[in-house]
Amino acid sequence: MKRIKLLHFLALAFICISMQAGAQQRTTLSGTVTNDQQEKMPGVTVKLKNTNTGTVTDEQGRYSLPVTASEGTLVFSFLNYATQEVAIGGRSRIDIVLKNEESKLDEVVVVGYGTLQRKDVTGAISSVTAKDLENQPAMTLEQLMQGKASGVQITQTTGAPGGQIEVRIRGASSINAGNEPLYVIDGVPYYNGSQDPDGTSYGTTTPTNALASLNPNDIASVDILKDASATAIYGSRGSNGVVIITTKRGKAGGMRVNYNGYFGVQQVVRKVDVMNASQHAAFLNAWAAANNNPIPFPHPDSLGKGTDWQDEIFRPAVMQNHQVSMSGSMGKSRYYISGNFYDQEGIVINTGMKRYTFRANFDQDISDRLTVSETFAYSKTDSKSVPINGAGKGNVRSAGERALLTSPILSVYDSKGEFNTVPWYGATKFENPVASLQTTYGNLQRDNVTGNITLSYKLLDGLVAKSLVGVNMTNTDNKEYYPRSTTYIGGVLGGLGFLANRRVSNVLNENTLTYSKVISKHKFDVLGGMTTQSEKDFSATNQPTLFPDDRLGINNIDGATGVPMVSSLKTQWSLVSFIGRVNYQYAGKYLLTASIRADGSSKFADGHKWGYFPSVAAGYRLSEEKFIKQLGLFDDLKLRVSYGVTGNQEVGSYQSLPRLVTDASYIVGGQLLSGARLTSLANRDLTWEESKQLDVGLNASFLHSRINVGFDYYKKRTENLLFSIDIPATSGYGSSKALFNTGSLYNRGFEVDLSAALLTHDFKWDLSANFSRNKSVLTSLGESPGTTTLFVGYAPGTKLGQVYLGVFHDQKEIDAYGLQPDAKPGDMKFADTNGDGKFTGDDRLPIGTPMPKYIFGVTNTFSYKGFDLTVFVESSVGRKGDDIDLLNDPTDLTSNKYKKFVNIWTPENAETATVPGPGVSNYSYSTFDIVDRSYFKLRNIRLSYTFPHSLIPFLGSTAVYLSGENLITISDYPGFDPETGSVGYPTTKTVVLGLNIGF
Amino acid sequence: MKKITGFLLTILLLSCFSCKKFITEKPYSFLSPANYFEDGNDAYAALLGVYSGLGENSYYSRFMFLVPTLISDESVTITGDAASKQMDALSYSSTLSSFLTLWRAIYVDIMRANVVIGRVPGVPMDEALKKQYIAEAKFLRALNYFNLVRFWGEVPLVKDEVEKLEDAYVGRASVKDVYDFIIQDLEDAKAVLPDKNPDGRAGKGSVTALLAKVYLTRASSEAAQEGDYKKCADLCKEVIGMSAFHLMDDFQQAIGANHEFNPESLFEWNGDREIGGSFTSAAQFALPSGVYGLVPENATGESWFGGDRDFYNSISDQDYRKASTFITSGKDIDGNDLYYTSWPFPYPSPARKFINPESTTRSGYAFGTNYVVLRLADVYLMRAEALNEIGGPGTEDAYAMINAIRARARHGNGSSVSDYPADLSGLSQASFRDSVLEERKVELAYEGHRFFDLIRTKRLLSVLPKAKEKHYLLPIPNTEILLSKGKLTQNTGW
Repeated sequence: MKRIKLLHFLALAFICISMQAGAQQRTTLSGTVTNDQQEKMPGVTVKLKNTNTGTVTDEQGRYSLPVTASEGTLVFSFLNYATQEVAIGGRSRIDIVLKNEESKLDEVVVVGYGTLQRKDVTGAISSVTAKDLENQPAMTLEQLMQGKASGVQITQTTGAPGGQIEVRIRGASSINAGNEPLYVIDGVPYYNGSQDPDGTSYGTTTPTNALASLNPNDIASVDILKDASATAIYGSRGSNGVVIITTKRGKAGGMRVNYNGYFGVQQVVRKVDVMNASQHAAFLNAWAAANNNPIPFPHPDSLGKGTDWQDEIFRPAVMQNHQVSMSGSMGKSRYYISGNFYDQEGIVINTGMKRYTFRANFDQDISDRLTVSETFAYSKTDSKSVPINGAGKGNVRSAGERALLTSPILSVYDSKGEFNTVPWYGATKFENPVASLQTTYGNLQRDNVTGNITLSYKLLDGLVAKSLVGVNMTNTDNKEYYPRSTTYIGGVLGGLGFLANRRVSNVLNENTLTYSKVISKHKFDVLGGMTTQSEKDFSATNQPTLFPDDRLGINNIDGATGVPMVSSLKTQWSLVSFIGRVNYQYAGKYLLTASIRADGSSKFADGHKWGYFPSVAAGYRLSEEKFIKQLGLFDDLKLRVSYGVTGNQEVGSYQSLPRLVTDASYIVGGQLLSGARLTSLANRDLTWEESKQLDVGLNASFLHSRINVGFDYYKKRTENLLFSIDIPATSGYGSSKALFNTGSLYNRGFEVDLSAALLTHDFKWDLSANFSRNKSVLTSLGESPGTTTLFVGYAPGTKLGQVYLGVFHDQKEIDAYGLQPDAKPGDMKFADTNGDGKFTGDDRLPIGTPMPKYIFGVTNTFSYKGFDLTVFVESSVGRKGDDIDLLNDPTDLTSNKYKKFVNIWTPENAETATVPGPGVSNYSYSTFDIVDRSYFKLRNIRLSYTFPHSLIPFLGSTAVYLSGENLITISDYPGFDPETGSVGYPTTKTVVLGLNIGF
Repeated sequence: MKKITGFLLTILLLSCFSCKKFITEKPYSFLSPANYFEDGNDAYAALLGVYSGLGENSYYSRFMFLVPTLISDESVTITGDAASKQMDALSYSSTLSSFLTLWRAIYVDIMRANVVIGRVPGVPMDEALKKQYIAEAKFLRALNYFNLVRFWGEVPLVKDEVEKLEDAYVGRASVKDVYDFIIQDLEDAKAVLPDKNPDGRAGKGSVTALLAKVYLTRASSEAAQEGDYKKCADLCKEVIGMSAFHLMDDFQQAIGANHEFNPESLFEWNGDREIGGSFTSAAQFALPSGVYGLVPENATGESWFGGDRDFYNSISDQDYRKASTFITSGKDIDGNDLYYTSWPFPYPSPARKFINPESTTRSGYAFGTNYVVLRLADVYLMRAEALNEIGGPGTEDAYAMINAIRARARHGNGSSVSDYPADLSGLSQASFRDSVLEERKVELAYEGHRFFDLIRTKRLLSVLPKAKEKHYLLPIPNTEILLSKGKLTQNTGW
C-alpha cells in the first residue's frame, strides 16, 4: 500500500516537474538499475538531488529523467538497498548497481502459521537462507544445513546416494518415539520417517531419505524452531524441534530465468587400514594354533599383499546436476517454475541415484482481498542400491562391511579369469563381494507429489482468514534380485527375488483466522484455527525363491518355484488440532507471545487421545531503552525467556490395541497352513510423551549491525517417555516389548551464534559461526528394568562394558596383577573399577558417549571484485562408540581385521603384543572396542567468480565455481568416517565445477 | 463476507463433531483377539500357531538343538559365536543370551497354548474337533513346561493367557507343581487324541511317549514319586503296542530329512525351507566349512559346530550307526578325497541325520529337516531303563527292549549284516544302567537327548570334567530376574 501511495506521489511529482521543465532547456538522462545479483530492478526511485525532479524505474529497470542541466547529483533509493548518489558529470546515460543492505533485524522469520520480523521474535529460531545453501553440491537439504545452525546436529548415517540422514535439534528427547524434527514444507507438516517398502526377510533394506524428494535448489529459506515457545504451536509434534521450509515463489518483476549446473567427481572419503593377505594369513595361523587346529598357511609371507577389497569395491564416481528455473510476475499473478535433473553415481560399484523434479508455485491476487496460492512439486528418484544394513547374521552384508571384512587372501578372479568362488579359510556365508555387488540387482523407485492450495481472504483490515488443503503422496517400488550363482543368500535359496510397493498418502486441512491491530503503542497479532491431518500407508511385498536360473531374475518371477513369502500391511493415523496464539508488543520494547495447541491423536488409547500444549515467551528489547541508546553501542539488544510444553506421537499406530495376526504358519501333511498368534500386549493407557522446555536467550547487534551475536541456554525435560520396555517372558510376548509412558530424561545445553562483516570494502570478509553444546541425561527408567544401553545418569545409547587395560603378556603379569587368577597369557586385562579387590561383572561401567559433547561450524567468506572464496569447517567433539565388531574381535576367524592385529598376542610374540591373542578366553565388551568419533572436517571450500555485467551484457548474473566437499577429515577414528561409521555405505569426498547463469 | 465467515464457522463446527470419529483407530492388517474366535477354522489356526511357535529360530529351529548339544559331550563349536563358545566350555553365566532366547521362546509358545486352551472352549464349532484341538494344545503346553523344568528346575507356572502386565509377574513354582501340571495336561490330552494325527501334529502316541519320558525324568528328580518308573514302563509298553508305530528296519531310515514321518516317528516338528515357513539350520551349521562334494551346487557348510572327537572315538567303528551319524570324508577344491582329520577344521561332522541326501538343491539338502522330538527307539530304551530301575535287568522284557535296538543296528541296511553290537545278557543292575545310557548315546546322538540323559542319570560331572554341581540346572536368565520385580530367584551356584 505504501509503495502504491509512493508511486502515486511520484507520478504526481513527475507531472509537476514536467510542467515546470517545459519552460527550460531540457536534456534526458537515462540508464538501467540492477542489483548486485545483476538482476534488473523495477520500482527504484531516481531523483535529482535537492529538487522535485524524479522518476521510478520500469519493469526492465530502465529509467529516463528529463533534466535541465548536465550538472547535479542523482539519488537512487530502494527499500533495503543502500542509497547511492552519483554526480551526473555531463553524462546522458548512467547505469547503476544497487547494493542490498538488508539488515538482519528486518529479516522475515517464518514461524508456525505466520511470519515475524527477526527483531520481534521471542523464541529461539535459527534461519538458513537460499544464499547460504547455493553453489554447494548436495542431494538433500539436510546435507546443506549441516553445521549452519546452532543447536542442530546433523549426522549422515550412510554415504549411499539419497541415504538417510539423522537430524537432532537440541539432542534426542525420546527413547522409542521418533527423534527427527517435524518438517513443515510450505505449510504442510511432514515427519521424515521411513517411506521405504520392506527389504527381503534377510534384512536387505536400503533405507532412503524421504526428504531426498525435495530439490534443495527450490528452497528459499529454512527456519529452525528450537524452543518450546516457537514449537508449541506444533504441539504434539514439536518436542524434537520444527524445520520450516519455504520454497521459492515468484516476485513482482519481469521474467528471470536461471540455469544452475555442476559436474563433479566423488571418491571414498578415506580408506581403512586393514590387514593384507600375508598378515591375515598369519592371523589365521595364530587363530588355528590357539584353537588346536592345523595351521592353514605354512608360508603366509608368500601370499603378499593380496586383494585390496576397498580398491575393488569403490570407484571414483561422477555426479551432475542441472536446474532451470523461471520466475516473475504477469499482471496479478506471480510464478516460479523449475525443473531439475540430478544424477549421482555411487562410489560403490553398481550403485547410483537419479532424481528428476519439477515444481510450479503460483500466486494470484484475485481481488484486493482474496489471494490464491498454489504449490505443486513432482519428483522421481531412481536408485540402484545395494543393501546398507548388515543383517541376517551376515546373510547379506553391506558394501562397507564387505570391503573391510573380506579376506585379502581371496582373489577377485580365478586362474580362468572367472569370479573366484573358493571361500577363504574360515569364511562363513561366503561370497565374492565383487561378483555379488556387480550381479545383485537392486532398484528403488519413488514418485512423490506434494501440493497445496491456500485461499487467503482479508475479511476486515487486519483480519485474514486462510484455508489450506495440502497433500503429500509417495509411491515407492523396490525390486531386488540376488543371483544363485554369485551371492550367498541366492545360492542357499536358489535365487532370491523381492518385489515391494509402498504408498503413503497424507492429507492436511488447515483453517486459520489472524487478526492484527495496532492501538497507539500496543500491537496485537492473534491467531486461531483448527487443522486435521491424516495418513494412509499401504505396502505389499512378494519374495520369490528358487529361480530356474539367473538370466531373467526379478523381471520374470513366473518361473520361480519356491513358495513365495508375501505380505501386505495397511495402517492409518489421524490428528485433529486446535491452535491459538497471541503476540503482543508494547512500544516495540516489550514482547509477549502465548500459544496453545490441543491435539487429538488416533495413535493413543481411548480416553487418552487429547493432549494440550501451552507455551509462553517474553522478550525485552533493551536497545529501545534510553539508557542503552545513549551508549550508542547496540543496534539491538534483546533478552528472551520462554517456557512451554510440547509432545511427541511418533510411534507406530495401533499400539494401544491387542493384536492378532495369522502369519504363524505351520506345515501339516506337506501343506503350509496359516496359524494365528497374538503379537503384543496392549497398553490401554497409552498417551502423549511430553517435553517441558525452558529457554533463556540474548541477541545483540553492534556496529551498524555488522556484528550479530545470539546466545541461548535451554533445558528440555521429557516425561512420560514413549518407552518400549522389556516385559517378563512370562507375559508370553517373548522379546517383544510393550510401549509404555514411563521414564524421563533431559537435554540441557547452550548455543552461540555469531555473524560478522569483518571487512566491508572492496575486499570483504564475512564470518559466521555457531557453537552448540548439549548434554542428554536419562533421569528415570520408570517401569523399565533397564536395558544394555540405558542407564540413569547417562545419555541414552551408552553401553555397559569393562575397562580394558591391555594384554597379559605372560603368567608373571597375571600373577602380579592378581585380580584375574583364571586368565591365561594373551587374555585381556581389565580394571577393578569398583575397587573391591576382585574383578567381576560388577566392574562394568557405562562406556562410550553416543552423542557429541559439542559441535561447531565456522564459515568464512572472502570476496574481492567478482571472486568469492568460502571456507566452511565443521566439527563434532566427544562422541565415542563401537564400530564393526568383527574387525576388532580377536576370537573371530571369519573376517579380516584392523591392521593393528599384526601385533596380536601369540606365544612367539608374547612380550611385544598389543592386541589380545586369538585364543583369548575372556573377550568381552570393553573399552577395547570403543573408538573416538570426534572429527574436524573441511566440509566445503568453494571458489566462485561472478562475471562483471560489462563483460557479458546479454546475460544476467553469471558465475562459475569450483567446490570441494569433505576434502579433509581430521580424526583418530580408524574406520571410514567418524560421522557415519563403517558398517554401511562409506561417505564421499567430492569436487565439483559449477556454472550459474541468469537471463 | 458474512457468508464466508459463516462458511468457516460451519466447517469448524462440523469438524468438531466428527473429531471423535476422525481419531478413532481403524485397524486393517490385524484382527482383535476379542472378536477373532468365531468358528472352527479360527480355533484350528490358533492351534497351528502353537505348533508354529516350536519352529521359531529361537526354539527348535536353532537354539533347542544348539544349547543342549554344545553343553553336552557331543559337540564342540568351531566357528561359532561367543555364546556358543561359552556353552561349549561351560564358562557361561546367567547373562548368556542363548538362555534368554530359549526361555522367552518357550513362554511365547506356552502363551499360544494358553490362548487355545482358554478361548477355544467358547467357540461355536464341532465339539469333537474342539476337544481335540484343546488336547493338542495341552500336549504342546506340557512339552514346553517339560523343557523348562528340565533346563531350569523351578519355573513360573503361567496357566492362563496374560492380558494385563500385572499378571505377568509370576514367581517360581516348585518342581513338583510343575510336574503335576505337565502330567495333568498330558493325561487330559491322552484321553482325547487318536493314536496318530496328520503328519506334523501330535496324537496319542506322541502324548503317551512324552508322558513316559516325564515320569522317567521325574523319577530321578527332587519331585520323584513312588511308581514313576512303573508308570513310565507301562506307558512305553502302551506306545510300543500301538499298531501305528514300529521300528524301521534300517537305522538310516529311522530319522532324516528323506525319511520324515516314518512309522517310528512319534512326534516331529515339521519344517521345510522349500515348502515354506520355518526350517532348521542344524545341517548347515554342522556341515563342514571348506569341504566340497558334500552339499549340492558346490557349496559348503559352516562348521559352526562339529562332533567332539572324544565322543566320536568312543563309538565303535563297527557300529553301523556311527557312519550313519557322522560325515567324515569330503573333497578339497581340487577334487582330492580328504578324511576329516585333513579338513580345515578337523572334526567329524554330525550332519548325516539332518541332511536330505536325495535333494539336489542346497535348500532342500541342508534346510529341509524336521526336528524329531520323540521316536520309538527312545521309547524302547526308556522302557529298558525304567524296568531296570524297578527290579534290575531281569524285570520283564528289559533285555528285549535294548536288544531290539542293538539288533536293528546289526541289521545295517540289510545287505551286510554285522555281529556288532551283540545282544546283551547277564548284566548287573548298574552295568545295565550304563549300557542303556551308552545305547542312547549312540542311537540318539545329536537328537537333543544327550544333555538331558546326562542330567537325568546324574552323570554330568563324570562325563564333563569341567562341570560343577551347578551345571545340573541352567542359570535363570539374568534379564528375566531383573524384569520380574523380585519374583524370580536364581538357581543355586549361579
